[in-house]
Amino acid sequence: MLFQYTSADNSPASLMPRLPIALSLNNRTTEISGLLDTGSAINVMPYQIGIELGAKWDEQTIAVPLTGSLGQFEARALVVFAAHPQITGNQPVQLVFAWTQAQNAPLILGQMNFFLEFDVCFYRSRNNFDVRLKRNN
Amino acid sequence: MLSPELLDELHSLSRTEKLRIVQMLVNDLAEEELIAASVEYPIYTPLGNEQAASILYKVLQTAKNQDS
Repeated sequence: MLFQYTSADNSPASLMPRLPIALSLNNRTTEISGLLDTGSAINVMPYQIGIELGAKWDEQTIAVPLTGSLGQFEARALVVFAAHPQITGNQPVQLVFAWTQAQNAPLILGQMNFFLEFDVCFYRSRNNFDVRLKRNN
Repeated sequence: MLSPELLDELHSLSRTEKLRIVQMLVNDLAEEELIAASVEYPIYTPLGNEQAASILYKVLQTAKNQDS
């Protein structure tokens, strides 16, 4: 399915591939735009999104060391389900995140494991990108 | 854009006026440099963070095994 690049400040110079996606944990769901970041080794979830999903910080016991601007914040592993009606249908996909205590971080969809689960083609010159569920050979 | 007319006008200025123009442009450049240097852009991308990826991979495998 094709999505348009979007801009945070209506500037054509700041267009980025942001995917609207629904994240679920237990019985809670929140919708958010995730930044498709092929340079990121992992998925990253900002603190507030985990709270909206009902995750309890103290119950997540596996620490995840981060680098860059996120290195100063503690992060813990959190597994949730991700869905988009036109991409996943009624089969949500498990995504694992480094849930960071950083409040201002974007939701980052990276190599482990968003790009393991979804095939993505970027067409920056046309301002759109194509996301499909991976094929199971 | 520097037009030939503007360059001609600058060349025709007196020494004092030329110095004022130079000083004004130097001030402009210094101000722009200061503004650019004071803005911080966070880098959120965990580039090359294989250790974190390895940890998350194991967590995911455990979760999948519990679900199946």
